[in-house]
Amino acid sequence: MERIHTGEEMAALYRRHVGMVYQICLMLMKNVPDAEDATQNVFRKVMEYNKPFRDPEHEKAWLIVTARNECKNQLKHWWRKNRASEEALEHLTWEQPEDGELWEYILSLPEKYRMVLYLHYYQGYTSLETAEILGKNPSTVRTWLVQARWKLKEILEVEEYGQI
Amino acid sequence: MDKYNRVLDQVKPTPEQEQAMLDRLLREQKEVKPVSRMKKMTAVLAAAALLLMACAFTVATGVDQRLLALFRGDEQDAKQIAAGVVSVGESYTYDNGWTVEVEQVLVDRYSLAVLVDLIGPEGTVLNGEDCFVDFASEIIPEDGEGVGSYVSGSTVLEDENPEDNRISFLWQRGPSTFFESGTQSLIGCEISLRPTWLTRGGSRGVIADFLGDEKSFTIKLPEQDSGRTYRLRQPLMVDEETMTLEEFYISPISAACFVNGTPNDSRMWGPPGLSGIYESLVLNMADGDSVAMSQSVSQTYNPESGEGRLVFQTERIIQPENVVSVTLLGQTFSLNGLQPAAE
Repeated sequence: MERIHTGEEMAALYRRHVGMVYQICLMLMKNVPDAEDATQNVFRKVMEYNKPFRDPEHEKAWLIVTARNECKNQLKHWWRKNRASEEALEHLTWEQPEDGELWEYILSLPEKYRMVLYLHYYQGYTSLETAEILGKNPSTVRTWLVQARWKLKEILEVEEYGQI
Repeated sequence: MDKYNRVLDQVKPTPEQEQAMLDRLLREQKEVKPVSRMKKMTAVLAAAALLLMACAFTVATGVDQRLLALFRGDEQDAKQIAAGVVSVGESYTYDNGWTVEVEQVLVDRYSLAVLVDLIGPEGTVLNGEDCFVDFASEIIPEDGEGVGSYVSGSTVLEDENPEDNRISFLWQRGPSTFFESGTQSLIGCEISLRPTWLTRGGSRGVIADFLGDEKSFTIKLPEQDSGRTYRLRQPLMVDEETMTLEEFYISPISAACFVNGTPNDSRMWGPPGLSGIYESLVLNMADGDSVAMSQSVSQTYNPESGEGRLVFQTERIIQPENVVSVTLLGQTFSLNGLQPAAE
């Protein structure tokens, strides 16, 4: 694949992946303004990345890793202390009220569970691929997946969601 | 996991959000391209009255008291940092009616702080509450090519008159980090600063938008580095596994460490990994005193090479030559007998 050169190429790549990058950023940053900032930073980094992606899968995995690193970087960075943290997730609307409650529960999970659930169950990566993307041992990731699924199941049962 | 996936399906940017983010990106892409020096309009020199006003805030060394106050420094300390201070004293009134005054810049190898005043159009009341200013900041390499990523943020300074239209900020940034070629020193560089937004509450609530005007401030940074680098190349235990502490840099106002882990090393962020490094970092001085860090300036990581670069601001101004050892994540690294590396 060629590296990104023009605004049109950038826009095309952005359209392909903005949904996924934004989901990861919102899941990790937990508020819309910070998620927007992080999303933009991820795509800025694509513009600065001066090597071509090997294939579409490499491109996607690169964006996932970069989004996660960007959010972790932002969460560690001092200037966040100055930013409003109470801004609501005002842009999210839910088909069913319980969806909002489940989303809040997902956000309350430790970061490692949020990421493995997302990559494995939503993006469809195998546990091995998930481990590779997260830079973790596959057995660790499998353990996290079991624990995360268990935690999610717990809350869904408590709230009478039934089986997931 | 149907319900989980159903919830995630609904977590997406609205079309308006999606478009707005793209517009900002493409606009920035246009902005960060190397600009012809002929086109680049530097800010006009401030009027004599402005310089006189700035003098009222300075001590004998020329260091603005607000910069000194940030580091809890006195006049003696001011001498330590004077070599890294550039008195800019330039202002420009933008098309939106706002005037930006860049007063002073304090710089060392890996950190930069800009003292800036913003003056709103007549009738504007700025009490600074929850306000942030952002600058597009391009460090112009000698070859005129290449843009790296960096982190930045602003702190609003105490507003002596919350009823007026003037507000002061300290805008800070770390070094540019390039994926391929590492971290760029700020020493001797030329930096271009261009305000982008004055906002309230993060990226929402734009008070002033400067993007419609291309004028920038171009500042030549000092050639002299007040800091020193020690090449350590010693093992650093992080989460019971080894990383390498490659280098440690100490200046009167900051400390920076370069570490090497493995590619895609999750310890760079923890938990706990390096997440507690800022709280754990202490500079041990020759007189037995110790100096902690007041904040993290920049923490960047290259997942391909495994290199991490961390920059911190010291809680007060120090004399780098008086640091005898460094304590990091409970491990102490002696600097005794080590010669600072020649850069």
